[in-house]
Amino acid sequence: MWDEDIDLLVDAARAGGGWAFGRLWEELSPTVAAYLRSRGVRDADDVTSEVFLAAFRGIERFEGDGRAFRSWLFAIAHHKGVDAVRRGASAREVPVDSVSDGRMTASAEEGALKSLQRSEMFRLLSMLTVEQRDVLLLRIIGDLSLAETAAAVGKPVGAVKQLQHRALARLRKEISGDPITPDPVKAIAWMR
Amino acid sequence: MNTNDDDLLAALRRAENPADRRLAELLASAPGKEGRSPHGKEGRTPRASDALAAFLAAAISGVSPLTDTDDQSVIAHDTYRLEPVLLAQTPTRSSQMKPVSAFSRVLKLSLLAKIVLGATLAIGSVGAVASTTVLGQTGDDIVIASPATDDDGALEVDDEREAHVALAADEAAAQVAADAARDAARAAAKAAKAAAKKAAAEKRAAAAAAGTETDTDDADDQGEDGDDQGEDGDDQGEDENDSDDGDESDSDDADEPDDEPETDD
Repeated sequence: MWDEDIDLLVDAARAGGGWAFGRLWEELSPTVAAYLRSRGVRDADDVTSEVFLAAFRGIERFEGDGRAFRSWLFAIAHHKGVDAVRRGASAREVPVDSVSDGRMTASAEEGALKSLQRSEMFRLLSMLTVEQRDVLLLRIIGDLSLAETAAAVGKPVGAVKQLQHRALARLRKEISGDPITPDPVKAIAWMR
Repeated sequence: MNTNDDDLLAALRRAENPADRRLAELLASAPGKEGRSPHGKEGRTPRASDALAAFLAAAISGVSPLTDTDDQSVIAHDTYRLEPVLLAQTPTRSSQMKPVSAFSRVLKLSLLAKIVLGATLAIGSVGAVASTTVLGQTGDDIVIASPATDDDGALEVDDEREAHVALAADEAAAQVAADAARDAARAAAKAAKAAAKKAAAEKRAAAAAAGTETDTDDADDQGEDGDDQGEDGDDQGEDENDSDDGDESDSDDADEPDDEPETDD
């Protein structure tokens, strides 16, 4: 969906247009749910609902366009995800099957390849620290800029840039044949 | 490679390092990224929670969940695009509204019950105040109707007050009747005494008249009666009250003087 359409939806929702809330939910909830699942939140659907409910109830106080609303939404999702993991709502294993969407795959082979790639991606992400993983997920799934990511995680832009740099360096090493032995304790802790 | 770009994946894809391109390929498989296009959805819509479904249902039904509904731009947008929004929990949304409707029904019933209770209390209090202020006067007795000690209602208070008034009226009527009967008895006694006195006077008068006639016809009997008077003093006293006995004694006495001389002879 174009950002201009999101701008229109955000303006209408901020003015109280009931139809706009449903459209925003339809357009943005899959990405937010995918971010939460990738972060290891077990009840990602429920947490996604909490995120949108909080955003809709506070939309009168929100100022900005559609892009800013998206950034604000992922900031809420980040905090809700942190709370969910703290209260034990994190997934014990990566929900690969639950996040796959058969409607988007062209064939079974492509689906299997996606699944393998996703498994590999989650394996790589499990090698990162929580902060490095959060930055990468917000940058890739949330499609946020460095400044928006910094606002979402509550850190300076420089710190976010440093976290991203270290995360990419570590993943690059793993992929280039200089594998980094994953820390099983960290991986299990992230899974839980 | 400039990873400070807004689009990190695009920067990784443009990188010269094959590892970066491989990394971009792996990260592109992240959920929410596949099939993403400007014109399409970004994956499956998650299941909406009950609270969010209720919020969206209220918003779509026209009841704005926000407080600010006076903005005219809302109306413009609503008339501009009115189309149903498909939610992930559409089948369960109707069942989720049942507790809300039941709750509203309970609220209505409780409001009705409050109104009825208030009206009942108002009527009862008015009746209690009226019963404490109304005074009833029957004859010389003043009846003060007080509230009933039991809590059966204002109707019993009214009945009790009416019973008090009726009882007082009955007692007054009975007393008047008793006084009238007593007066009538006294009057009857007086009339009987007067009649007795009158009869005695007439008897005396008759006796006096009869005495003058015997003096002229039976001169001997009178002298003998004088003896009899001395002998039968008690009988004479009795004759005053009994005229018949007097007559008999007179007749007997009148015969005896005639007989005694005959026996003496």
